[in-house]
This record gives sequence, C-alpha cells and structure tokens, in this order.
Amino acid sequence: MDVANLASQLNAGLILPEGIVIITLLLVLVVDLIQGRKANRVTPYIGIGGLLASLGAIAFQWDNPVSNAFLGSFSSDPLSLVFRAIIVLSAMVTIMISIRYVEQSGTSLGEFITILLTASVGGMVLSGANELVTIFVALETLSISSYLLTGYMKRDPRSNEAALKYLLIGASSSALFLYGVSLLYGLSGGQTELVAIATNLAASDQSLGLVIALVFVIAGVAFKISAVPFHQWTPDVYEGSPTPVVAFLSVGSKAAGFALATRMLITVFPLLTDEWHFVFTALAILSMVLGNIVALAQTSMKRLLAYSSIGQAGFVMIGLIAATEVGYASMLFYLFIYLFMNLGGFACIILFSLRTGTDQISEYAGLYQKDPLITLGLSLCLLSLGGIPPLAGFFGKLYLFWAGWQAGLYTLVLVGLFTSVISIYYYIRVVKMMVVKEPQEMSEVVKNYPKVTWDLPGLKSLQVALVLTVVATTLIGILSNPVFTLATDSVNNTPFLKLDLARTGTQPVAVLPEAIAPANPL
Amino acid sequence: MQLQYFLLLAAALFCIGVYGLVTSRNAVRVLMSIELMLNAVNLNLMAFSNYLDPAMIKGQIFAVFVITVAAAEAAVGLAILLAIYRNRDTVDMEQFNLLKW
Amino acid sequence: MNLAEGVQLVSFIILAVAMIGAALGVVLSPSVVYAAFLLGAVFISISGLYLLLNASFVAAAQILIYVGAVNVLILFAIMLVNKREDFQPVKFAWVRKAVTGGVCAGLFLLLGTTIITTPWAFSTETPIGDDAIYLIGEHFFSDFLLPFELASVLLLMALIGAIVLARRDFLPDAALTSDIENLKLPERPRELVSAAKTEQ
Repeated sequence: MDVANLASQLNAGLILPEGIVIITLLLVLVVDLIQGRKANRVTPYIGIGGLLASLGAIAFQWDNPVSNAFLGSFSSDPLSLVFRAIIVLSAMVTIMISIRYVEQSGTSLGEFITILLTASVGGMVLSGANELVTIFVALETLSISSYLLTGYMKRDPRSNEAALKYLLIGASSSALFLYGVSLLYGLSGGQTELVAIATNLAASDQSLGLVIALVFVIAGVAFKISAVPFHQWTPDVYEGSPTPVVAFLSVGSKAAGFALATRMLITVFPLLTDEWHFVFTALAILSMVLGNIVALAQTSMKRLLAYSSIGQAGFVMIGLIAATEVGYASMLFYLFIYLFMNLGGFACIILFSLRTGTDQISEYAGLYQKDPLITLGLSLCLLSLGGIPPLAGFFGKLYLFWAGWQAGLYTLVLVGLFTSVISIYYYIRVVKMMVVKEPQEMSEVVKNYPKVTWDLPGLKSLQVALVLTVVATTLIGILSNPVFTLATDSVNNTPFLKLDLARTGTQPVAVLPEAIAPANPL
Repeated sequence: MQLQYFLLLAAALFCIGVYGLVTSRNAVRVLMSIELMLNAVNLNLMAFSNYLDPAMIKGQIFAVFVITVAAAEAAVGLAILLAIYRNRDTVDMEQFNLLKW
Repeated sequence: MNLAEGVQLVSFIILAVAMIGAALGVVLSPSVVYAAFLLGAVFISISGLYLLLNASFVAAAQILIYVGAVNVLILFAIMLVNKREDFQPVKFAWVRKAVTGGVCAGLFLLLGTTIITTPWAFSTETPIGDDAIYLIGEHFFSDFLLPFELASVLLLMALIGAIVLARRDFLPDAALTSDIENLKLPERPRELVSAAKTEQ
C-alpha cells in the first residue's frame, strides 16, 4: 500500500473536530509557556474558541455520507457526532466556569485547560472508536487526564486523596476491562475491529469465555458511568476534586462512558443481548435506588450532586436497555438536557463557594435575600434534575420512561418513577433552604455575604455560562422538538444501531407520538 | 508448548495482582499490583497473537500500546503519590480517610 | 518430542516458576523495596516468555520500558517516600486476606476452566517470526494510526501533568495562611475532616 493510496483510504478529515481540539491544546500550551502568568487572560478564550470551532466541524459533518475512517478504527456516524458534541459542549462550559476557580486557588490555568482538552479529545475519540486498541487508548487518555485534574489542587489533602483513590480504582477497573478485551481478541481468533469480532464470535460457539469477557467489559464500562456497585469512587472523588472538574466528570466523562457502552455492547455482544440487558437492568435499579436514597442523607452539595448523578445514570440506562429506536433517542435526549441542567447547577455551586468558601447545604439558608441570581439558577437546575414540569428534565424523564414502558420494562419504569419522587424531595429541600427561610434564620456565611460584583477576572465568563445553561434548562423543555428530531435522526442514520434494530425486529417509529412531543404552550 | 499453558500463567498472574490490589496497605505496592495485572493482560495478548493470529500479530501491537499506557499511568500514579505524601506524610492506605460519608 | 521442543518446555517451566514466585513475592514480601526488585524479576521473566512466543521486539520493549522506566520510577518513588513506618495493625486483617485469597482462587478456577474448555481457533498460517518488526511498523502507520497518534497526545499530557503534580511549589508564607492562592480547594473541609486531623 503506497502512501497516496493510504492517505485516500484514511478519511482523516473525519477526525477534524479532534484535530482542532489537539491544535488548540498545543496552542494553549505554547502561549502559556511564552507569556507565563500573563497568559491567563488569553488561554481560556483560546480554549473556548477552539472548542467552538470543533463544534462547528461536528455540525458540518452531520450530513457526511462517509462515516468510516482510519481503515475502520474510527467511525464518525451521527451517534458519535452527538456524543462528541455533548463532550465538547461540556468541556466548553467547564472552561468557562473554571477560570475564576482555578485562578483563585493559585494553580496554573494553562496546564489545567491543556489537561481538560486532552480529556475531551480522549472522550471524543472514545465516542467513535470502532476497534479495541483505539477504544483502550482513548479510554485511558480520558481516564489519566481525569486523574490529573482530580489531583490538581495539590496542596489540599482531600484533592490528593481523591486523585489517589480515583487512580487506583480506575486503573484496576481498566485492567479488568483490558482482560475482558484480550479474551475477546482471543475468542474471535485475532480480530480487533468490533464488527469483525462479532462476525467471528457468531461463527463459533464459545459460551463461557464470552460470558466472562462480557462481565469484565461491563465492569470497566460501569465504572466509567459510575453505576452501582461500581460507584464507590464517585462521592469521594466528587467531594475532593476541584468543582469544575466534577462538572466535567459528571457530564463529559459519563457521556463518553455511555457512548462506549452503546457501541461496544450492541456491536460485539448480539449473542448475549438478553444477558447484558439483564445485568444492566440490575445495575440501573441499584443505581436509581441507592443513588437517590443515599442522596437524602448528604450535607455537602458536591456529595449530593455525586449521588444524584449516580441516580441519573440509572435513569439514562433505561433508554439503553429499552433497545428501541425511541429508547436510544431518549438516552441521547436526556444526556443532552442533563448537560445543561447539571452544568448550570455546578456553575451556581462554584459561584457560591467562590464567594463564601463553603459547599454545605445548611449554609445556603436564606440566600434568596442576598443573591437572587444564584438562588434562581440553582433552583431551576435542581428542579429540572428532579423532573418538575415545565423544565427540560421533566420532558427528558417522561421520554425515557415512556420509551421504557413501550419496550415492556415495567419494573424498571416503576422503580424509576418511585425514585424520581424521592429525588424531588432532596432537590426541593435545597431550594426550600434557599428560598423560604426567614431573615433571622439566615446562615452565618449568608449574613456576611460579600457584595455581588462581577469585576474580578474570570467571573464574567462564569456569569455567561450560568445564564446560558439556566436559560437552556428552562427553554429546551418547551422548545424541545428540534432536539427530539435531532436525537431520532441520529439514531436512524447510525448504521450499527440500524442493524441492531433490524435484528431485534423493532418497528421504526417514524413520528413522535403526541403524548410525548410537548404541546407548545406559547 | 501450548496456548493454554500461557493463558493459565496469565490468569494466575492476574489473580495474584487482584490479591495484591485488595490486601496491600502500602500505596506503592498497590501500584505494583496494577502493573502485575496489566502484564497478565499483555501475556494473554501475546499468547493469542502467537497461536491464533501469527500472520497479522495484532496482539503484539496491542501489547505495545498497553506498555505505553502503563508507563504513563505509572508516572501519573507516582506523581499523585508524591503529592499526597508531602501533605499527609504517609503512604498507608488505611490512613487515607478524609473523604468518608 | 525433539530437542527444540524439549528446550522450549524446560525454559517455559523455569520462566513460569520464576515469574509466579516473584509475583507472589511482590504481593507478600514484608519489605516494599524487595517487592520492587522482585517486580523487576517478574518483568524480566515475562520478557523471556515473549521470546518463547516469537516476539523479540515486544520482549525488548518490555525490558526497556518496564524494567528500565517503570521499575526504576517505582524505586525512585520508594526512595522519595522512604519514611520507615510500621503500619498500625488493623483488626481482622487476616479475615480480609483470607476472604480475598478465597475470591482470587475462585477467580483463577473460573478463568482456568474457561481457558481449558474453550475451543480456541488455532491458526494454521505461517508465523511471521523475526519479520514482525516490519509488520509492527506497517500497522502503526496504517490501521493503528489513530491510536498511535492519540498515544502521543496521552504521553505529552501525562508528562506535563506528572510534572505539575510532583513539582514542589515554594509559596510565600502569606499565601499559606491566606484563603486564596494556596493551591487548595476553596471549599472549607467539613467538620469530620478537622476532627480526624486533630487526632493524629
């Protein structure tokens, strides 16, 4: 194969979004190197600009008929484009909310952004990776950068400890995953491409080995999406990490995990569909129940959101298990909404902790009188996470539960309904704490609340991010039809999902039923 | 010389790694146990590569990537370990209990 | 069995015994320094096994990277954190060890059964042998190009990140006492944390 021939077969243009992010991160690194501390004025905006350009490149690829790149190791189908867009958006919002936070802690901003961009590159490649080696390297790029980000506040013992725990648990889960992957390589007789593995596995009869490989692979994937019982790291890491990093881990890293789960399980294990659906049902039920019930007892806002994110992962899994067109579409839709409501919530928490230096729930008492913007934003995001109409989260959950009910997952949907009622309780508790307290019940920190200013460097972008995410959380619910269409289109145009749906014999649903497409109240 | 011997050897190494991972008190030893597990995977890959895929040897490529990533992971792990040792003055896993609910 | 097979079998047995013995030493030996040296022995024996598996390039890479880099790094880490400390004994530690040992033995039996019962699809193609290095190079620049490039980004970032985390920052005293610019989380630690600190 000569060079010209090879270059034409690679379709390297399909990783243009990743390429842009890589160039951006190198640029950030060089500018930071040349200018030193002065570069803090520039580097975050270079990062945001690069991510916007990458988002543009993703949008530009939407109608691209060619999806296979790098001789089959990467596929840029609409599903991966949606996941990559979610990861890029979450990285972008994370940079916007992290500038002030990182500067106030005195750590260097340039390296922070570089590592964050590397993590997004890893997640983006993982969303489209179609081959075991690429999956492994992308997964590790994402994980190793996440460990570094977690330990970034290096003088703080909590941050160190969170990083060490995350690294040890993460590295051992990736070793388990890798063992499963090596079994797949052997069982398929030396194939590393997912489709080729599936073909070879179907031709031979190897039940026990395949089951073991499945178990190991699920252990690795469940760690990434922090499903119970692979969740132990989540609360500790979320509490000890810098808050913007938590925001990225809970959205970007989780979305990448779901992308991996969808592609790998559906493509490689069609023979064991019932088995992995069963395992995921158990994981989903455990996650919803444990995540939402333990969240009731939390006193720290970051830990509360950690447990709530475990519960939310359980809800998202319903869409994956439903294995219908609506199911996958509802999963994408929910992840997209979750991006805005969760990041909006984190923007408010970061702002509050920058002004007061605490994230205890009890310290939020009476915040309404002092800072209406945080109160309003945090209330809207938390209520949306709880699923109160007419916010976006309500429609997302409705769509997920409806898809699950259609697919006959009655237990799962009932557990989901029950636990989301529980979740409303603890979200409302925070809202109540902020809004309905009398002036004399105000907490000490709120009494001494500093005057609200936006002059400090980096606060402006935090404000912009806060307003944008809160507006998106409020409006997507009402104006959700374009997003619904986008999610459904991406499922319909993705080759491997189409194959799977054709095999399981689900009828493609052409139009959204009226019950779900929300009547536009405007 | 059979494939199964190598696979059994790799499985044994993997299980020793798991045992060390769970029981070690010293954080450095936990990192070593993870290296053992990754080496077990590599041995698996190389054995498959030799017996099932001798013409394309994708397993060897995979093993090279695993070695690369393991080196990066070890560097990052030891950096984190140094940072935590500076703050806490210990590497005992039982002492790392600041974050508990 | 001809002479070559006999030699192969004997070297396999020697390497296997050395590897398992050294690996057991890594997890069981009381001194972490001995454990680190035994880890080097594990890596070297595995590299010998790779030679038996016709993979000379990976065997060399194993020695260069694992023994030359990872193991040396681990030894450096042990020297840097070389406080001789006797860990506080934990109650029922032996129960945990016994349970873990049982689970690991069970895992080994399960994996062993899988390995023995699975009908592996043995290939009849001629092994590539010592031409492997050319093939590896071709793979890196054709179908494994994407992970190859991504690995370069990963290594660059691991390098930067490890330096950032391990570098000793000298802060002015003002920064250490003030609330800002002290390289710490802005959130105050919870009560539980400060209680645990005063105990020590």
